[in-house]
Amino acid sequence: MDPSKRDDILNQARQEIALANAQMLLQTVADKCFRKCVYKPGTSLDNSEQKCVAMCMDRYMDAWDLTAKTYASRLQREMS
Amino acid sequence: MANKGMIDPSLQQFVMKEQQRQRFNHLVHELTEKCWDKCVDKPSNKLDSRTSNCLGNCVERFLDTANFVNNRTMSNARSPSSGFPQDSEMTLD
Repeated sequence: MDPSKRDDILNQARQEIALANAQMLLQTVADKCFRKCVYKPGTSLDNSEQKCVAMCMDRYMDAWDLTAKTYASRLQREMS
Repeated sequence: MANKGMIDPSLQQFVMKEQQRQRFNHLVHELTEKCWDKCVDKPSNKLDSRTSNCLGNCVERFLDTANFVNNRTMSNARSPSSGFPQDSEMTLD
């Protein structure tokens, strides 16, 4: 197979993996933030619930970054 | 594919690299879920220092626990006299 075509296919595979990861993350975030922010589901997602969900999403991403950093430095420590 | 029946080395490298990346991602995903439940109370404007500390400790202690479980299981497999009860010790009386 010619190399540029192969690279296209590999890039497409990378993109699909990234998309699948993002979908999984979004699903988890929705689950976590629903639990933390929507106690008594009403007739709509009210203003305070929306604010809570927005904050929750941002904090979840912070927690994800912190976890990734902590785990990465642990891996490095254990390898050396 | 360069030759039939031969694995293209660059493809093999691609798969290995992606697998490694995916394993890392997967574990971070799991750890974040567990530690979020343990450490985060009400979401606020930023992660406070107590929560960040808790998250860091949670990740480290989970990995310690996983290592401990592995090591203990391995050493029990080598010297089965201690640790997990053996079949003969599990009689109900």
